[in-house]
Formats: sequence, C-alpha cells, structure tokens
Amino acid sequence: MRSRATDPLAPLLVLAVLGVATVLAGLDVLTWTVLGGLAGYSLSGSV
Amino acid sequence: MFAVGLVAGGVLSATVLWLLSGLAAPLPEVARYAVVFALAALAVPRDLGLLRLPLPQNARQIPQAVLQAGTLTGAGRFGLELGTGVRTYVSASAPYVLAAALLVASPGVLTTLITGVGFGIGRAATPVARALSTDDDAWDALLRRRTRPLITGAAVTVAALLAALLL
Repeated sequence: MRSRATDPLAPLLVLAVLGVATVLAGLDVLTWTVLGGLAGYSLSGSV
Repeated sequence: MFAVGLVAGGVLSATVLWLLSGLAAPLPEVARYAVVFALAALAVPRDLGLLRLPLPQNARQIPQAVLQAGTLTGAGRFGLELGTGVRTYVSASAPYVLAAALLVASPGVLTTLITGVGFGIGRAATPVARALSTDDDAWDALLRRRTRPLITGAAVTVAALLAALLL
C-alpha cells in the first residue's frame, strides 16, 4: 500500500483527478493551479 | 526553506509571464489559442520520443556552490532557482505548454500567480514523495523507469485541462 502511495506516478494521478474535479465544479482558478502543479511535477528528476 | 524557494521561484516566473502576456493581447483570440493547442498537440509525441523538437532551455545543472551558501540560505536559493523553471534543464513539454497558455490566454494576474504557486508545489511533490518512500535509491530507480509515462501523462492532462478551460 505504501509503495503504491509513494509511486512516482501517484502525484500525477492525484493531480489529474483534481483537475477533472475542478473543471466539473467550474473552479477555473483551481484548475490553473492544478495545471501549475502538473507542469512542476513533470520536471521530476530534473535538477 | 527549499519548498518556500520552489514556490517563490514559481511565482517569480509567473510574474514575468503575466507581464509579457500583454504583448499577445492585440492578437485575435483564435490565433492565440491556436498557438497553445498546436504546442499541446506537439508535446505528446515529443514526450513519447516520437518527435524531435528542441525547445529553449538552460541546459545545465544548478551549480553545487548554491547549496554551499549555508543550510537555510543555500536550500532556499536552490529551491528558488529550481522553482523558476529557467535555471536548469526542462525535461518535459508540459511547462512550455502551460507557459504559452499563460502568455496568450492571460487569465489575470491573481490566477497567473496562483498557477506559479501550483508549479512550485508540483516541484516540491517530488522530494516529498521520495521522502515518504522507504528506500530512496529504489524510488530514484522507479522514477527513472516511470519518467516517460510521467511526462507524457502530464502533457496529455495539461492539454485536456486547457481544452476544458479555453474552448
């Protein structure tokens, strides 16, 4: 369970679900925030 | 301090994008959005390794000397430089698509800055997930194996969310 929760793909899945939820709820500002999170997380491993 | 620096860096870059977004304002909305979705459409095959499309980046690592400036100061500055997204390699296409969207869609200063906060939090999620794992080396190896699906999944999700927001 813990290894699944800390899988590098887990934050991506969480952000994707949050993004869909904010779109459905019409919370545009939060959708932009999720977009920022996705862009930031996509750089995992890039230092 | 590292996470604070990451968020501050994201906000700094978002501020610059918001300031520059005025330059795109005279263009017709159709043309502006076409640029975003053209870039989003190219991002997925690029991240899958099917398309070679060099994009501007600062092709170097942040110097180790930054971290040696003292524990708090060094970590904060390292985070700041990493959080800007322009001081080291940009290994995925999603940040370019988002930057283009902020430039041409110009969703407003507050929304742009909050997007920068999100970028910093997204960057901070990597060390958090790594710290929560039980084996750092195994997590690093797993990240290397997951890099392609991770960056491609991010590009697809960013494109879909932008379509929902802008169309």
